[in-house]
Amino acid sequence: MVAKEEYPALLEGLVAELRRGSLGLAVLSQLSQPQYGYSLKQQLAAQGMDIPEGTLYPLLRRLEAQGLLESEWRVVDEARPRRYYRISPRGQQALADLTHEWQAISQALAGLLHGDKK
Amino acid sequence: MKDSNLIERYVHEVGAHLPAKTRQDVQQELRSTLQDSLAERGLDADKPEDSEGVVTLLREFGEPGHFAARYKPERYFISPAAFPAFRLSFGIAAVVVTIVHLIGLALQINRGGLSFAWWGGFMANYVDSMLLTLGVVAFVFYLLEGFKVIKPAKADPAWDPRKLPVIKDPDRINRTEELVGIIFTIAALLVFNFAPHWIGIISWDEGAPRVLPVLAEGFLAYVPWLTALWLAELALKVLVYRRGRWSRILRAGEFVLQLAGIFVLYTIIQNTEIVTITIVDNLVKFGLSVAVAIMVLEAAKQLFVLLRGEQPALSLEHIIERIGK
Repeated sequence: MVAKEEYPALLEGLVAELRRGSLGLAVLSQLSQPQYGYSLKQQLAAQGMDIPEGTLYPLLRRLEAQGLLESEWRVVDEARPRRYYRISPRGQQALADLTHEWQAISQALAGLLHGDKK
Repeated sequence: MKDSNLIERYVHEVGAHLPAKTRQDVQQELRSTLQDSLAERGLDADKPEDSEGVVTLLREFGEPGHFAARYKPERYFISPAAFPAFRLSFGIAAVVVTIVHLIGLALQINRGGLSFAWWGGFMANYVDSMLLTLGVVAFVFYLLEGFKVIKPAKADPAWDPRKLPVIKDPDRINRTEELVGIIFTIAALLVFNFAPHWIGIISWDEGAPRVLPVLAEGFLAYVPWLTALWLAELALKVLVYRRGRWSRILRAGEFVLQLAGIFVLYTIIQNTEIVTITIVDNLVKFGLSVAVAIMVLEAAKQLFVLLRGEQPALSLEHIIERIGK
C-alpha cells in the first residue's frame, strides 16, 4: 500500500508511463516537413504536448536509429548549424499503422471509461 | 567566467557520459538547442546580468549524467549512470598494469637484449593483461549493477551548473613548466659540454672543496649525441613557448625527438660505462632504464594524440584529476 505522501510520485510515474507510448506517435505526426529539435518542441508544446528536452532528443535519435526518421545538418539563415529531422517512408508507414492502433485503443478506452462498451 | 563557457562546460560534461561513437553529434545538437533556448528567452550568455537565466536553463535540462542517460541504448552491459565510475576504475587498474609493465621494461633495458622477439612478447603480454583487466572490471560492475549495489543516482534538486568542471585545452601549455624545461636543457648543455668535470664526488681537501670527476671517458664520447638531441629539444621548447600551445607539427617533432632520445639513452646504457664507480654506474643505469621505459610510454601517448587529435581518455593526468574529485 502506497503511503499518502507517496501518492504524487506514484501518479507522476503512472502519467509518465501513459504518455511514453504516445510520444513517438506525436513526434512522427509533426515531421512531414523537416524540423529541428527546438522548433519541433515548440510546435508540440503549442498543441499541448510538452516534451522535455531530455526526452525529446534521445527519442528523435531512437526513431532515427529505427529508420523511422531521417536527419541532416543544415545551416539556414544563421551561422548556427541545426539538425533537421523528417519522417522517412518507413516512418510514414509506421505513422499510418500507429494512428490506426491509437484510434482503436482510444475508442476502446472511451468505451471503458464512459461505460458504454458494446 | 562567461556563461557561454558554462554552456560549453555543460555540453562537455554530457559528452563525458556518452560513448565516443555518438558523442560529437549529440554534443553539437545539444549546443545548438541550448543556443536556441537562450535566444528564445532573450538571454545573452556573455552578459553577466543574464547569468541566472543561463543557470536556470541548465537546471531545466538537468544534471549532465541524467541528460546523457536518456540516450542509453535499449540494452547495455554497463549503464550510463555507472559508466564514469567504471571508466575511472578501469583507468586506475590500467595504470597499475602499465606501471608493472614499465618496471619489466626498465629491467629488460638494464639487462640489455631488446630484440624484436622480446618486444613482440612484451606487447602481446601487455595487451593480454589490459584485456583481462577490462574484462574483470566490466564483470565486477555488471555484478554490482545486477545486485543493485550500484543504483541509478536520483536527480539532485540542488544541482548547481556553476560547479560544472572547467574544460581543459589539451594543447595549451603551462609557460612556467616550459620555461623551467628550457633552463634545465641549457644548463645540461653547458655543464656536459664545458664543465663535465663538475659532475663528481665533492670532498674537502685542506678546507677547500674538491670535485673528483666521475663521468667515464666512454660516456663523454656520447656527449656530442646528447648535445645534438638537447639542441633540437631546446629549439622545439622555444617554439612551443613562443606559440603558447602545441600544434600537430610540433607534436610530430616532439615524437621524433622522443624516439631519438630513447635510441641514444638505450645505446649509452648498453655500450658504455657512465660513471667510473661500478655501484653508482649500476644505479645510474637502472635510473636511466626507468626513464627510457617512461619515455616509451610518453612516445606512445604522443603518437596516440597525433593520430587521434585528442588526449587519451585514460591518460594518467585525467585519472589523477578524477580521483582528486
